[in-house]
Amino acid sequence: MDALAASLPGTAVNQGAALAREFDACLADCPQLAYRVALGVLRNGADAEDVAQEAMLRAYRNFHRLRERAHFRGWIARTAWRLALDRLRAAGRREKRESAAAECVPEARIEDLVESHEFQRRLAGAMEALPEKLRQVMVLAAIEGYNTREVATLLEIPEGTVRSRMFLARKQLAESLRCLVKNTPVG
Amino acid sequence: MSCEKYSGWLTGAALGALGDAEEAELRAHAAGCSHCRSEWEMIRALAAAVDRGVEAMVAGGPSPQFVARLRARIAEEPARSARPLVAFRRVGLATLAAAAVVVAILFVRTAGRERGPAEVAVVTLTNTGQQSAVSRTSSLEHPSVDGTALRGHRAAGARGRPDFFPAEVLVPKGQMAAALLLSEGVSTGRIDGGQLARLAERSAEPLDWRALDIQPLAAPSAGEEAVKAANADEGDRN
Ligand SMILES: [Zn+2]
Repeated sequence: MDALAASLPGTAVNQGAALAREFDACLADCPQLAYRVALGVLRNGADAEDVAQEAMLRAYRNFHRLRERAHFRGWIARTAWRLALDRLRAAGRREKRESAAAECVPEARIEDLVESHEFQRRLAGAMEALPEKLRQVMVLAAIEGYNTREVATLLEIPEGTVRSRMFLARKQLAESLRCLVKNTPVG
Repeated sequence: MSCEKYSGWLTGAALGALGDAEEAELRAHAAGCSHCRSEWEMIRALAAAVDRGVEAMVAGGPSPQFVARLRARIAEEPARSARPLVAFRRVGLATLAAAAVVVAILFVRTAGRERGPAEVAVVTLTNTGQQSAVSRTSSLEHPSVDGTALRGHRAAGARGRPDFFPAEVLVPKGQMAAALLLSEGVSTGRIDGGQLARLAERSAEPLDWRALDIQPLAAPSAGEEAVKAANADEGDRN
């Protein structure tokens, strides 16, 4: 028998065991989803792991109400997001915008840009500067391979809304990183 | 041609958000304008870099100990047998469902005390037809738990669906008839479900058993004949 089912009281009765098995099946990918959502907010692996633990524990407590698979993943993603934001606020760790302070010096050709530390640092700053709804869509989209339908399912909002939020997020991010690119004319 | 006019379109085009007609017009312009062409290409590359950068930001997964740690925390969770009651009250199923739970708890407790063989009753209640059914499914030699064997869960969790409450209940051998009667009483409304629900909230507390205070029968006051007549009536009835 699976360990979770064995840890539940009253396993002589099928209902609890079946539920435990279903929850076990969700353990295959939901912790990763929760972790990555939290990482998108906190940018720290240990903090993201703690948040993912809390989200999964809450999922367990509410599992009897969250059994549909699609709803369950969305619930996990939204819960992890909210818990990560709470953690960020509680720790008062909202750092000063480095990007605003430091001057933007064009330093790379676009091809080399992604690898550069400066690009990642500025991108993180630009992400934090995004309105929350745009940032959430961008994080979930990156996790879901930029599949707008998947993101719409997770957030339970129309796909068109996801598309327009993604457009605005990308536009804003690209604009704030534009200054890093050396303007070399295409040959 | 005015590059100024098209510079505002470049981001939309690079992000695939420009209308077909506008994109065709921009394409026609870019074909003859190297500045707009390179700018367009640069924004497209930058947007791709942004996508890959955000992907890198959320790459990775929890530690290998994650699931073990989660299971350990789950094992520390209190038993959840009372939890469905809360959900039912919210969806308005309260009286019927809670009553069934109380029935279950009472029987399970009895089973635990006697440690005798038990049977499993499946109680199914629906809020649409207010029906209840108890059926005997199997026999267990050893009821393994005291008060925790009941597990009730909502089978259809989605909003808008008919709520359906299956609960499997251990019933001590010989008391299945009583379980059926009680279930029938709940379904026909002869038993007050609300009262049972209130009892259920206290079901986690130890039961408070009080000895019944039974007054001795009053001495016969109407003489021997009356007592004899009463006894005869009693005998006829039996
Ligand atoms: Zn031009």
